[in-house]
Amino acid sequence: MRILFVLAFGLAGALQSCYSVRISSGCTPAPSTSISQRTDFYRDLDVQVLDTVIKMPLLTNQIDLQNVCDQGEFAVVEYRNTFGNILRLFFTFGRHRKVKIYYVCCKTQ
Amino acid sequence: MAQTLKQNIQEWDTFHKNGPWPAKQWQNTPLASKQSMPDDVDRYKDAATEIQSLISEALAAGTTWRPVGSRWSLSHIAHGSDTLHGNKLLNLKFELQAPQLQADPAPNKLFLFQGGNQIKEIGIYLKKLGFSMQTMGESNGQTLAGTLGTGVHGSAWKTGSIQDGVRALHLITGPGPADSVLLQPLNSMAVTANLATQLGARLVSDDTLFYSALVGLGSCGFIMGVVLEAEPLFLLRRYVGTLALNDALSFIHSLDFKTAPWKIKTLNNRIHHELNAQGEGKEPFHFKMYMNPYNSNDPLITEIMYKLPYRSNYPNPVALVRSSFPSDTINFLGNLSAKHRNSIPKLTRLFAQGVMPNPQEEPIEGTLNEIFWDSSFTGSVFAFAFGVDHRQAAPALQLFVATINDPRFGLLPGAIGIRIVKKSKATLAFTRFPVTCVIELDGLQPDTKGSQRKAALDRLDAFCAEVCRQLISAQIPFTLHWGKNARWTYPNLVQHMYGSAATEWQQSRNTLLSAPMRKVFSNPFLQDVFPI
Repeated sequence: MRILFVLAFGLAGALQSCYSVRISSGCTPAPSTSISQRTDFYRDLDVQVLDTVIKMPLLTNQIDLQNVCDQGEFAVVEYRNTFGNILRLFFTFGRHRKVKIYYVCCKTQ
Repeated sequence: MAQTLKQNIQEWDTFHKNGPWPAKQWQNTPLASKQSMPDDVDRYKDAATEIQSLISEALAAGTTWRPVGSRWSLSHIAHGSDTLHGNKLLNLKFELQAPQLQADPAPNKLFLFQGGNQIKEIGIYLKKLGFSMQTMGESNGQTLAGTLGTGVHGSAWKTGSIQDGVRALHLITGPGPADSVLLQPLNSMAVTANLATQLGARLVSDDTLFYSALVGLGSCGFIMGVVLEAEPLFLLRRYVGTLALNDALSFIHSLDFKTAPWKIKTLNNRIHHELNAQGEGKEPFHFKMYMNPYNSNDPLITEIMYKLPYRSNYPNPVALVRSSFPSDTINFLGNLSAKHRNSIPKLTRLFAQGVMPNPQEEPIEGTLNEIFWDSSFTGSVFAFAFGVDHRQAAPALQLFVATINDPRFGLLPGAIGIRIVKKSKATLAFTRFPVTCVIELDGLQPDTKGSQRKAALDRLDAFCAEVCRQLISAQIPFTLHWGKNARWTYPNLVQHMYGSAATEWQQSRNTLLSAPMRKVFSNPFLQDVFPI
């Protein structure tokens, strides 16, 4: 029983956490317009989240993120993946893909 | 038309969580869109009109109205009890031309920046035009107006602080047409009535008022625009090495760096090339040290930078800046804290054992804006910083280290930073000695609520008061960094630090602001520092 509990707990943790990659372009990120309660990297930044499951053909690996920034420039883009997402990809033969992207546009004037 | 966003709030906090404090409303004014108002001067004036209407609302309601930058200050200087106005969206930039200027400052150039421009975006903008700010702080997220409110500095000992590059200020001091003032010093006039007319402001040339408003503690009106002098783009070559404490103190006392290349131990002695025509060590642009107050065997890490003419073919230093021993102590401590799961007892033990890395890094080159790069740590930190005449640095440091190690205050996990900065002309600049040695303790505080946090903050407050008491007792004149933690209610603190200059600043504020506007631009910090 204890082993099962540990396994279930471990699996739940693994499903939630895997890896993330954050890319910064070097421009000044757009600031948040409201008082932010965030405590992470995005504190005080105007962060947007694209969190969706998309269906796409097996051989396609591109999604378009256009017209979301005023001047088309991103300050930060972060892609987050979890073990659960990888499992979903496996069991749907690559057709259902979870996409979770955090992005901040460059500050404009 | 600029339309202010208004958010009702119960409380607010600094970026590094030194509060929270109660407040009622958070405002933010975005500029009118370029589509609706193509001309940037019109957008600038439109924003000024909107700011005046907000001030008018506060005046009518009998409430206070506080401009806030990036809320990086650790003291409660940015706090206002009623309405807070974030200014980061006011970020227009203008290159000033001949009819707007008294004289061509070539090879330098004057620019007008709205107060909400962040230091990083100013650096990027100037670089595209072949220019650079003359100095900046350790990182780049502050707003320009915010840096002036507190007197942000780096360690450019022959340049000064950010405010020392300011040639004129556009202040909004009230709701009326006469309350838009373009203020410049009479002894060094930079702009003409032409610029004032364009901005819808009246030109005032007055030394006393200008130098008082220059470090205005956020209380001399709203800083709508800043005329800043930039210089041709340059590079800095940065070395990080170790230095004996006695040698460090000798350099700070004498300001003679002729032997620095031989005294600072760097990787492969690469710094030995930094010599002048006489074969002596060159004069550095920047000189800073980090010290572990709990272990005298830990190396004194020294960061020294030399100014070079700009060239485009240098490797981008940003990746190395990120991974090297950081210029930013807060980042260093934050990373250390994360590595040890934010355990304060574990960190303090670590400091006692010796925590400073022995930096063995290649020198790097970059522009000012690249070397002093982003600070990404968002945890809860404190910092206490005081300035003394550079010739008093040794006794002040000795006293400071002894107080940090006083068991009454518990262990404060942090590192001491030591910098030197040229005197500022601003009336309330804490860099007020011919060369000020700024000695600071940057550290972490429990990122929790409740009794543990309160006890830690109480200990920190008592520690800050004790340092002041000892400096006064040792008859070492000192100032405190406006944007950092301190016991700001310490009796007669401002009079002790600034003498008659404190009175002069208050009189200037009385001239700039009417009595009702002084109430609007007042806040608890000001009341603590200048009690009635």
